[in-house]
Amino acid sequence: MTIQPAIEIKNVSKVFKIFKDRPLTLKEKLLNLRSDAYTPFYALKNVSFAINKGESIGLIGHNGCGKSTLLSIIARILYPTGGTVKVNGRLSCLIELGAGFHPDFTGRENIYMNAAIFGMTKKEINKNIDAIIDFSELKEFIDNPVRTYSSGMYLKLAFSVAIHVDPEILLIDEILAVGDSNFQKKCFDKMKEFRRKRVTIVLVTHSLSSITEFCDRCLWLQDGVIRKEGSPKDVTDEYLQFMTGIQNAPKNQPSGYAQDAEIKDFSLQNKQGQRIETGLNANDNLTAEVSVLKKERSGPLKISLKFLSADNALLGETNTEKINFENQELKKIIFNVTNIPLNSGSYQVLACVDNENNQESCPAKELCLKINSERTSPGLVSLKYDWTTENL
Amino acid sequence: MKDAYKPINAIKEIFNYRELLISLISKTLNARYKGSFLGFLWTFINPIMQLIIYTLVFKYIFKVPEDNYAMFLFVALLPWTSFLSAVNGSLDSIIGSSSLVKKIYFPRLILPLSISLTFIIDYLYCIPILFIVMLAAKMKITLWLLLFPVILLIQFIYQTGLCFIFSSINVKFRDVRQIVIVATMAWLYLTPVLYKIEMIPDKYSFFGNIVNPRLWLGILNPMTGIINSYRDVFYYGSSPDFLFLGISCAAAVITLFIGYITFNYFERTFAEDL
Repeated sequence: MTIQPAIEIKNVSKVFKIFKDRPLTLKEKLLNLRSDAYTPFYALKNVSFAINKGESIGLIGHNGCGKSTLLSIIARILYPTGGTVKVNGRLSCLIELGAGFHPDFTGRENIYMNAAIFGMTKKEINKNIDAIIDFSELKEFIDNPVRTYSSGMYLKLAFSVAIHVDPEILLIDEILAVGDSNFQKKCFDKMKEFRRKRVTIVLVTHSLSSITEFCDRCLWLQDGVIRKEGSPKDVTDEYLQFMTGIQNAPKNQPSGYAQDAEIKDFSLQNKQGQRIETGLNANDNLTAEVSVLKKERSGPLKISLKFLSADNALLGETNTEKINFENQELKKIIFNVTNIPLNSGSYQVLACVDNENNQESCPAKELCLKINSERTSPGLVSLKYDWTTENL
Repeated sequence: MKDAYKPINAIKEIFNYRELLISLISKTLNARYKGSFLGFLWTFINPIMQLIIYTLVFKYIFKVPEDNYAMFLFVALLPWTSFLSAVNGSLDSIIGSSSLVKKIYFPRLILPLSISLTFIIDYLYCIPILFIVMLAAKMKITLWLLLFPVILLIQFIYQTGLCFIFSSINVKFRDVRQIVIVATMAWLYLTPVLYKIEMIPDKYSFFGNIVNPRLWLGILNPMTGIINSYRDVFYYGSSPDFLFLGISCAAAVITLFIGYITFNYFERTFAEDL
């Protein structure tokens, strides 16, 4: 017997018809009062892939690349224009939470209603109702009408119902940021529990770190086609490089900057003085050269170098004291960072210039720093350690 | 994907989602009179008010020659009201749940089906009242009443088919709503609810029986057979006209089938059209 994949997608396309002037009523349709003409928009073009049972897949891509359309098609909310979708197993989707909540009904009544929409029977709901209420942390409010809930409470309740459906396949669209940090941690733990239970998970998110943490495989969608498929680390690295490239492309008229200085050049070099293209080995030294041109009246500038993770979390910063510049003076600032304590992966390095009023002088220049390491361990920071055992 | 269109799979799926069907029906029944003074009593007050008005007009002004016109009307008015409310109510069943349809998958057929069932249940609530009134009016109760569930089933099949058709087309073409409301108003007079079908004069028949309005109303309007059968078993205590009931039954099944196909056709783009 061959193992059936949990989700099998073959040559799926989705065309949205963008009507200029669609006939909205039968009268208009029959009398031809409005034209049927439309421009097709290809949200997905011949996408094919399969997801095995128990696999976690991450879907990434910029806004409008077709991620959510793909998820909606798997969830059977939208029908594909062409191709076939096969789903084996009970599916729960966390696409939009709290859909179908009735504001006048109590939390408890809404749990029953919402669970029924997910296809649970009364027996199953009764079995799970205590767990749902416990998880939502809304015990005192559960018999109040939902319209009295805050939006955070509302989402917590909705999330609790959705994850107690006991799914075999779970579709998640960018909703892990629910509630306070305590509740978020609970949600993450629940996701990990699902993963241990070999629930098939499809995760759509912009948080690249949750992709590398959760997923076995990653798909990068761009303009309706799969641009890259592979291990989360490889795909997110390339995705990040691609997105950095887009950001550095010249933009029209950046605003809000003091415009009194300009970064002429920014480069990263290894200790041999070579520009980094293939990447830097872990725990190597890094040299960064920033050339700054002072444009208007003289005054001190502060130049800083920021290290960011793929999720734009600030990992570290090095900066100069205030440096005095003459008008139209060009200076090269060289930073030496020793023993970069980062794990293998892609990071962003930003060069920024601030003037004496702590205002940003010009847009930051951004480079992608790829760290190579033979040892791969989870997390961003590479820890230096040894270990011993002791007999007790 | 092709398998999903087989009716047997649709029935299986609806069965799996029975809890949703039940909670939708109870939500409609409970929410309808929530916050109203007389509450659940409105279920009975509506048909009784209609009964009083129609009886006054048709018995005393138009002078319909029927001994017990109130009862004659009552047994037909109850199922007609249920039918009419279901068909009109289903029009907004998909549009009204757009937030659900756009976000969660569940068998969409459940939405119009729940409306159809809600009004069948509404009708059943009125049946005890009907029996009390029948006993008070000293009407004869015969074994033909055992056919009541059969007639009700035919009505249910027919109105569910119509609910499928109208609810799904109305998503794409929003003026279907107005058309249906006007059509059902005329439909009341094309169905022998307020009058007896025998009252249509013979002078409107041409070419022998070929253009006989009484015959054609029975053939073209499935509600004629259904309403007449209710009246036969409740009011006259006699056997229904099995020929017309059979025609209605066949029409009901065909309507349900057409409704299913129509619904499947329009269902594919619900999430985009809403």
